[in-house]
Amino acid sequence: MRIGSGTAVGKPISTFRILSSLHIFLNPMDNVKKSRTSARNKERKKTNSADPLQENNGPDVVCLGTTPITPSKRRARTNSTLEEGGPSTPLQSQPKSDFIDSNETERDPQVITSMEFHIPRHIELKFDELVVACYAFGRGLLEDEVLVHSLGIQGQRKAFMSLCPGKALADDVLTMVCSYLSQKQLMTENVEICFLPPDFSASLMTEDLTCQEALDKYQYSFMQISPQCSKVYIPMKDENDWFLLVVDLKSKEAIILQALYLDDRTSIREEAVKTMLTFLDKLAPLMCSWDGDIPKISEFHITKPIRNYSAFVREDSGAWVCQWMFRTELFDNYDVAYVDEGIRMKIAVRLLLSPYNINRATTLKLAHKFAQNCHHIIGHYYAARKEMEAIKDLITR
Amino acid sequence: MDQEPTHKFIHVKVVGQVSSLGGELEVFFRIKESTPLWKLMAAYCRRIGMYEVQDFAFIFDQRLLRPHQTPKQVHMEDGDVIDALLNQTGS
Repeated sequence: MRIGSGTAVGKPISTFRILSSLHIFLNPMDNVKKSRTSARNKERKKTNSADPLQENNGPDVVCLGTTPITPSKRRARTNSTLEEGGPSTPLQSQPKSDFIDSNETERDPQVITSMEFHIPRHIELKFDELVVACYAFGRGLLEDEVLVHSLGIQGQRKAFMSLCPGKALADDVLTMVCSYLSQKQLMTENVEICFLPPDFSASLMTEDLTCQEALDKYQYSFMQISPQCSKVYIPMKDENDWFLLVVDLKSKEAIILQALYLDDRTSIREEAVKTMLTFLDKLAPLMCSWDGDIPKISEFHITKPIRNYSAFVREDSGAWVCQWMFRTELFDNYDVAYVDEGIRMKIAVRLLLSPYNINRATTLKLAHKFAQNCHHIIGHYYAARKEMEAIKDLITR
Repeated sequence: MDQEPTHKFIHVKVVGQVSSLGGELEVFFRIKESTPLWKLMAAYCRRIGMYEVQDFAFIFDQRLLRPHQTPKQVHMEDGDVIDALLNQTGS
């Protein structure tokens, strides 16, 4: 939140003053409502003044719960309690249906009204994508729930939660991306790009993976390479920082793509890349589907990062790697301009609604059911989009 | 201005619009009288999702609340209601 900054504080005040005055003139009912609220507050002050709350230790602000109100419920409530004019009852003694404890809110999916990852308004989502996003990032839902299941790879909600801004990307997300793109490649006539999972590089660096073990483990899902294969993408991790190794078999070079350039780690990363290339050299002849000329991969020239990409935080490096891999579907370059919340959300939605996701129908069904409990989020999104489109119209007019 | 920090808590309710659906959403908070209101505003935005503090106008007794104000400064008391209106732009 940019609440501390001068612009954040100043901007709404000036715009609001004009808008609120307009709002009152244009909507007399709102004016009536506001004066009612004001009167309600004043009445409470009179009645509550003799009964101050006891002093208590704890955090400064605690959200105690949320009550979504439909217009009909609001009216009923207004008639029964708020407009009676009698002494207001202390909030703690109100009936449970009106006052939901925050802990209870987190346990019961029926009353969840917020998300771990707010949907950025600048991205365009279809209704299915929107409800699935709400379901994946709904606060308080089961972390172990499997949302994506594809070729033996399971993507749990906690893995998706790592796509939230400011969080380091979980290995599982990159594995799912590799699996998704590999299967997409398999649907084509010839597999031109091979995506190896992050697990592959990790086990090579830490456990002395043998060629046979690698084939047993990864060949079926990730190594269906054709003679036309031109590139191999391997996400690698170095000190919680992700970088992508692209082995270009045509131009005979190994390109290291890293979002966050760390000068002191360059030599270490190059060493890791050399180990990987040597291993690929041994592995290539054993691949059944490989019947073309096998180049000497270990002798490939290692290309330093083409340019410094603009990731400012280490946590973003994983999302950059995902974006580089997704980009190969459309372009033959690595010019990812930026990675923001919208791209992180898009990655999640794409994986959840992937046609290769066995759980797709189940997740979608549950998401639609869940959407009834978070209609205000969906409503806000559509309102924000409408507002943005109106602004765009004004600008272009 | 505020004299000295107080540790008294009050309960307030923030009532916000639910845009296109025409309904409203209530969020209940417990806040220290001496705590700046931006904490409550930020908590409300987190709870709602989608929006940031500057997207809302928080109204109490027909007055716009400023983030640096405290409940005590605006004479907020237990059970008071704050209206959260979405800042609207365009025609």
